[in-house]
Amino acid sequence: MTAQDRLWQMDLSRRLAEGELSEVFGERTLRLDLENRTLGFRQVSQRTLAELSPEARAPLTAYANGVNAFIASHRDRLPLEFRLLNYQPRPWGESDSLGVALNLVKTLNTTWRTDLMRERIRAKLGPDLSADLLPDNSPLDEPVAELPPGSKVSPKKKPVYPPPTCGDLDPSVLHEPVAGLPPGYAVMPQRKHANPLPGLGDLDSTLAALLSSGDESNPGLGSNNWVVSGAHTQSGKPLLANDPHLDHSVPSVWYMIHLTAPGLNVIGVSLPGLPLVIIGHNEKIAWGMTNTGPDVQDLYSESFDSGAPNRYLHNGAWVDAEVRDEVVKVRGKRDYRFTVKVTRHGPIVSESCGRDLALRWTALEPHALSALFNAVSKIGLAQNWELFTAALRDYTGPMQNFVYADRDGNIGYYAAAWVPIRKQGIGAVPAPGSTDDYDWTGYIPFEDLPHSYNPSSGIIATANGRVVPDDYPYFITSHWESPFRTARIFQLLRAGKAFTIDDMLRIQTDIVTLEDSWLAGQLLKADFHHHPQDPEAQYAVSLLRHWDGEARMDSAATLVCEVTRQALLERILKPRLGDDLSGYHWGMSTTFLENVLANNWTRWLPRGDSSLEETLIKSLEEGVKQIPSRVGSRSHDAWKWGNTIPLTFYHPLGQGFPLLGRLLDVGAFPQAGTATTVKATTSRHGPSMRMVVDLSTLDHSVQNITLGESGQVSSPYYQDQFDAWYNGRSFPMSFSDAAVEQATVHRLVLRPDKKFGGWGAGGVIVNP
Amino acid sequence: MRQTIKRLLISLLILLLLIIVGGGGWLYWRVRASLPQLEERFKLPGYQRQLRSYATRTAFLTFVPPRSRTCSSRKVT
Repeated sequence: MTAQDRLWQMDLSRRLAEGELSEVFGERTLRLDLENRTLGFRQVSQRTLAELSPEARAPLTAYANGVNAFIASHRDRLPLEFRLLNYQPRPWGESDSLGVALNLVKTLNTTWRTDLMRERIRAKLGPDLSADLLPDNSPLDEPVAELPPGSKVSPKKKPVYPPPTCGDLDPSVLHEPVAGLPPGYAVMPQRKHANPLPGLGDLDSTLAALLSSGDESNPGLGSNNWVVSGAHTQSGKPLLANDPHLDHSVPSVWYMIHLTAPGLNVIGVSLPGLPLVIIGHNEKIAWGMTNTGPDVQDLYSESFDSGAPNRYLHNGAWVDAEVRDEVVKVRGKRDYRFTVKVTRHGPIVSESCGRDLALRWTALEPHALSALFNAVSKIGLAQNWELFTAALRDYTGPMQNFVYADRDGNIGYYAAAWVPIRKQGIGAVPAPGSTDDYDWTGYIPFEDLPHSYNPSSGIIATANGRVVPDDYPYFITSHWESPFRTARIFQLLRAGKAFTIDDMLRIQTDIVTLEDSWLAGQLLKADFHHHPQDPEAQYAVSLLRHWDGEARMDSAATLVCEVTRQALLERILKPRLGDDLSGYHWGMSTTFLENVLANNWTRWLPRGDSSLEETLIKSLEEGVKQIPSRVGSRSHDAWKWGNTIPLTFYHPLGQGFPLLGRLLDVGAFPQAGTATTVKATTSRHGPSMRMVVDLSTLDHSVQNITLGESGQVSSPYYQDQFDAWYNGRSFPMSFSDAAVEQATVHRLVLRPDKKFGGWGAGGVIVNP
Repeated sequence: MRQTIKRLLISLLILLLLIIVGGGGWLYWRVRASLPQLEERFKLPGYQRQLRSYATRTAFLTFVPPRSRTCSSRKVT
């Protein structure tokens, strides 16, 4: 059934995982293929399939049978995209579903470029200024986790950093597209093409969005979830809400399903290609997820033997690297051949600064994917907190903030995953790989992972910000997302009682920007002493005086704050980091600015400015100068924030066939909200789904995705949900027999055709 | 001469029109032909048991196997 609506998306998704996109799209997608070939996703999927028990494998087999039945019976009427690109899908294999899972793991776990960014910042600024610039906590933090039992409060330790292995990292490494390779890839030994990686244009990011394969360092990528106990609701039972933020695409990332079978009754969203409900509820429990964002990717600088390039040093002895030859078929070009070297830490993914950097990543560790698959399968079957947490015990990552509620009125939280413990250091910058000194020694014990059960407040909320108190005894990450969404959600949940589903939807679409409200306050304060000379800047300040802090579409004040904040960062950082700052992304950049201004850190004062207030006003003047070009007019009437972040859902083929783009793309529309409002919005990403589960009456629960269930452009379900999504409304998640019966408008019966026989377990095509 | 050019132009225009109509028709047929089937009974190879699917007005699908406790009382038309 999913194949009817999403076969082309499914095909692309497995091609992405296995590095086969270029066979369809030509060299424009070579970069994506090289990356996943290097990471060895195909090998991981195949290895995982062999690790699964027959029971665990059965759903994959049945799913593949269904998809293959659809393909076999629709060869002559496949979706339009296959015809336009002139190819036929190969049969679906069980391991293809595992590849789809790996794509999402990668989206939510890719942090290694941040290690290179941090290394570069440390090299440029030194340890003290780097610590200023990259804070790991904020006064706005709302840690939801309790300390592990028996743990003692200990003063925060200074993280250990390995000696620098690169003086001045090539800045271009920070400019790679979302899913691109570092420049080193283009010059890896034994590559047949000297400079093979052409610019990908928008196709790269559009495909990455469609296949849920972005990069978590994208501003705005994140999620919200919360749960409130019955003490805070009108019904007296918990309400649970979740809206994951991902890159927007056509069709939607998620596919809504309700699966029933003896012993199984689960409803929610799945990924096309993966027969599991990932976020949803069953008869007893509901759960939601946001990304915790742990550092589970470490880079190791390996020392290879110049005389024998496939040997590397380990504790004083030469060890052979695993060497894998890869051949990528490229449409319209000759095959692209290259070699992947894998050390004891993992594949060599970068040659930045002349080093061979190997990537160790929990997702590539033995049994990680099979355990993950088993865990998610079991979550849908869990009937209470004990079984839910028992399922999470197997969950290997990507680390998620799971919120939980059950019909008995309990609420809970668990951040589950394999999170490495290191012998030394925190994995924040590349470490020497030739010894064991910075190796992993284990994972945080499950019992000590951040969690909470029935907190006295009756409120649990997460939005990718810091979830543990400062004295939490383990290292999770130094790269938390900004605290503004979390803080705002807590503000709203603490302010209200007797919540209903409509209240939850209102919170999900809240557009009060704490980040810009703070900046507006700072600007008004600075205006007392340093009144701007520029009339446009004076007008901008006047807009802030009566602003209510809402980032509405027609808000001029939001626009003023957004351009000023960017200008302020540039004014402070350019003298230190250079003129090109586009490669520097971190979630707590505004917290850094808050600290600079609140603590009057004059060590950051730009040369020529007499005070930080002057810096702020000059940044305002600079930012305001950019407004006409952003809004396309000199008129003040055009100062409308929503028009500067137009939302378009792009179909990948719209990039190659512009006329088709008009038919297949959805948009452009102005938007309310910013990257850090609860309703997180940027031009390319935002809420990919909204769900609110009412544990008192499950049939009252609501859920919607961005566009619609179908990826087929002429289907009435291609974008039928968009209007509701755009305006913050939703649709019932009919769950009980009676509700499903009442809501049903189409009935389909599929019967086995004995004449043809079934594919059967033995007949399924595995990795053809 | 002028008549010949006129005829030629008209022929080209008709040809162009035919191509546009034909292309549009082909595109329409292609996109319609592959539309999901939501309301039917049919046999398919690859299935070991009967499966029912119920779709709401937003095509939210509920999958129901035979003899399942859930939705067992429902009659399929």
